[in-house]
Amino acid sequence: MKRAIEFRLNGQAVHVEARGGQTLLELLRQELGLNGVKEGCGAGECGACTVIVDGQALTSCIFPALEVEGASVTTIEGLAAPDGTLHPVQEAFVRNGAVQCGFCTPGQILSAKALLDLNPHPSEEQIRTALEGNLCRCTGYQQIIEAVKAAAEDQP
Amino acid sequence: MKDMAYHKPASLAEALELKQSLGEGAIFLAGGTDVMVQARQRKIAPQALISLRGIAELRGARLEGDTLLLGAGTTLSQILADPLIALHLPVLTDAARVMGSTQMRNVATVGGNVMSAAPSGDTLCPLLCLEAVCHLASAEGLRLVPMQEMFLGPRRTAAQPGEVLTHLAIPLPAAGGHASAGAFLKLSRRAALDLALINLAAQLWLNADGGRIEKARVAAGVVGPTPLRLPEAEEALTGAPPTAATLERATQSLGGTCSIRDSHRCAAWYREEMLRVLLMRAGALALQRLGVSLEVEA
Repeated sequence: MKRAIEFRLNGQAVHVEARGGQTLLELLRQELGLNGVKEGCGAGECGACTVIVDGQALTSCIFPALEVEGASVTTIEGLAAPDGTLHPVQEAFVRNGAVQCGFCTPGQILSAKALLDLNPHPSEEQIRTALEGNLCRCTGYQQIIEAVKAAAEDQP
Repeated sequence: MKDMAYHKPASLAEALELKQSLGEGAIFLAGGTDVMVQARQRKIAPQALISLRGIAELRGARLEGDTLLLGAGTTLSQILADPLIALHLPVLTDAARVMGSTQMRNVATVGGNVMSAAPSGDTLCPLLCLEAVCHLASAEGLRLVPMQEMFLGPRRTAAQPGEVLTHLAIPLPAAGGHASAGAFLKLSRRAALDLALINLAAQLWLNADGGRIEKARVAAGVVGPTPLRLPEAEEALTGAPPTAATLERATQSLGGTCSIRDSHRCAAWYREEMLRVLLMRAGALALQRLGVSLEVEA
């Protein structure tokens, strides 16, 4: 079953056909060519596929594609400015050495962005809670936490 | 995942009608964090999904007299943010806080947790202690099932195939001026994104002068095929003074109701030991919330 849906993707209106048995992850990667969103575990347990839907971080690998009809979706591709200037959270990840292999990074950054959009000055505990659903097998997490703290401190 | 029909009704009536016409091959999806994983892993193969996410009447909590009516479609994040729930039902907030991850809590619903009926479901022990009543709607009308009669086995509930869990009616523990508080604790290998090796909730009511526990409700998960109330612990606590010695006696009463087993996740002897520890700690935390502080070693 295919259905035409419309939603906002990184600020732009998109029209696309989605299937009943399709996940948001599959729609983004296969139909819309956004390969920044990663599939790790495929069961909502690693956070590599995190995107923001209507302000809330969620795991797109177990989220039905058809549920985004009328919603606003943000992926990692939507963060940098058109001229390539990085988003403050991306910039903070670079400066703090929070990226190693990079596979978990889009999900980490989107979880952090969803937190900072709701709560611009979170405590360390709130940062850790917001990122608890994003696994990283390289960095040991400390640099990632530091990066989010730094991004928060740079905010007005 | 194989292709399937997808329906997103805007009202409960429409959802029930769809289910009636589509029959057994159609399953309801609340947040989808369980259904989608099972479908992707081919443990289930629905022909159609009926998403309940578009039904506004299933979301949120409101007071009706001395009852809190909690919409089954309320997400765990919404539970955490709800001041009414934080004030009246901290035992439920405790459970929502330690479930899954932020991404999961943003999507997963309390009703989905009940209907999934996993022996480890974290909101189930609090709901058992709170004596919540399940509102099950179908084409035939509304049926009320007490939480204690809801779980028949692992992933099996008393709900009929055509029924939707719409609300959980939770009597306010502090109604009528009673001093009551609860607490929930979960033992898991990781703090996030992990199933409970064992979990336990306790809700305690004190008498007017605070010198005795007037009523106690205790429930534990992963101690049998379904989450279970532990009447032996409740009896040991009822009528006793709110002290560490009382909690200790309650831990010694445990055992009869449970059928704790070894699993690949945890050995039975460890679950048995930790059941006692969790009862001690949850009891102490509930009493602390009632203004009684105890020195608890466990």
